[in-house]
Amino acid sequence: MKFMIFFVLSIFSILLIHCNERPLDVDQIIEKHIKVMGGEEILKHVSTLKLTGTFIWAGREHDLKCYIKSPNHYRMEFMNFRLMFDGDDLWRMPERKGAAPKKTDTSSLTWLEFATFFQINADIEGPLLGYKEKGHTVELLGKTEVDGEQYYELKIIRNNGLTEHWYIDCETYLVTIKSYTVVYENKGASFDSLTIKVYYSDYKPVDGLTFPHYNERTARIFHFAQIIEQVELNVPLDERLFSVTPQ
Amino acid sequence: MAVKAKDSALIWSRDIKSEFQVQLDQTWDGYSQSPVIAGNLLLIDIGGGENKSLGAFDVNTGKTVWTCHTENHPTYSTPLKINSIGQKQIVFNADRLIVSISPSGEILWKYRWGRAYEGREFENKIANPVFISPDKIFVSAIFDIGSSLLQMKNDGSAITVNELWNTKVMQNHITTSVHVGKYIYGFDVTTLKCLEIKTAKITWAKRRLGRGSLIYADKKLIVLSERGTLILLKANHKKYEELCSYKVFDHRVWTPLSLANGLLFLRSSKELVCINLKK
Repeated sequence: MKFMIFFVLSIFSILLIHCNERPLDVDQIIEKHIKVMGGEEILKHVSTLKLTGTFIWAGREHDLKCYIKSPNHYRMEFMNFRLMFDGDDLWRMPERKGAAPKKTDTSSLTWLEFATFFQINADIEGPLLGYKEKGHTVELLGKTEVDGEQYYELKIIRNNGLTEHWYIDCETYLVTIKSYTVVYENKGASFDSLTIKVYYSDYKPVDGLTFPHYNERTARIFHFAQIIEQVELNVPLDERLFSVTPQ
Repeated sequence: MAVKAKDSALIWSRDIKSEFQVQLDQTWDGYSQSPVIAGNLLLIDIGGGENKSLGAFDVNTGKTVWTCHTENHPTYSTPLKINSIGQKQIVFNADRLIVSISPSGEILWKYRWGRAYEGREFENKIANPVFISPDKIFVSAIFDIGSSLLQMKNDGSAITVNELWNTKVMQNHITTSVHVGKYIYGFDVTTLKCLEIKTAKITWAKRRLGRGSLIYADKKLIVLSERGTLILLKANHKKYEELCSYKVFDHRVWTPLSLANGLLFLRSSKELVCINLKK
């Protein structure tokens, strides 16, 4: 008899707990996400990043250096490329001293894609922290399955119009995928836009900030990956790294 | 060309490209399919015009046995030899078509599949068709064409083909998927995935490998990534289960790996390596 009472009470308790489990709303998901990323204080405190690692392009590995100055400056160096996004435009920096940087052609899909990736990743704090005050809109589209895994899918429209879909892991609350579409202005092409997916993984704490040490960008058949071996926070960055005047 | 295996002495050769007036656009990188032997026939996706799209050659003499027209340019895909629905067939993942030919050169069925892309004159099909016994063909291609499962039916007078599903979550780029039981393992461009054949759902995905090729042997998958890492996996549809891995090359690998008599052959852009798996 005691066993029966215990059994019925156990079932009742489980049902009660289950009924009280409400799905998380968008702000609760954001709160959990901010917390696992290191918290509001850390995110607001980081103004620069220096990343050192490997860039993988078409199966070949190259040394990589990235210099990021929040909220919108991003410089990336690999092979003989020195690319710099200044918040509006993507510049190809010269290898030799004294030469002028060149603004890249926005009708080139490659440069357009790089510029968008830099724009998103130059925002160290991210769009979710204080999104209402920043003028961004964030909508929870529900739980979405990607490749057999469940994610919270957030649709983020930044105050400049850039629309992203973020896929947040339902257990860790870390962003696994960011997806965005770039519009292709080359009228001769047989398509007018390209949707890019960036997969983030290998999250590790760096001085309180949780940082993805691996990302890969894919769209159709192109594939770029970054393996980040060293992350330096708040290092002083020479202004000349982001200057578009001849040096 | 055909050469003697013993001493590489030439037996016969044919200049397919010029003899069959193959019209190519500049994006085509050249023939990279493997010819397939069916009996005395050597089968090739020629890609020529005027009734010369697909061809069969006498394997002993190199003489043309038949050619047929399927309106296609050449692809990089190797034809598939099958015996299904009471019919010997050679299935080609041809340009904008999946087409099946009998050994005598008769077109058994065609299925329109694929499209032109980015101003190219022809479709960029690379992966081979995969036979799923007893009556299905799995085909896959890049540029958002995705993968499809085709089912063949033979009512005695005609063969019909139906597409059971199409999915964009498995797009084979440089290599072909592998069929094991109720699942397909393959590279969705740069992500290794397992796909359930019945539902077209992905059961797991493994990133970070880049492109790669794979084969199935001894209930295991042998995978070679484009960055030169050789990986041994359990063929487990529930999860990615790596048994061991070894970095073989430091440079790019786009050539599919092959296994014969316990010897594993790997080729990069610079080296050829043979690994004895029996030891």
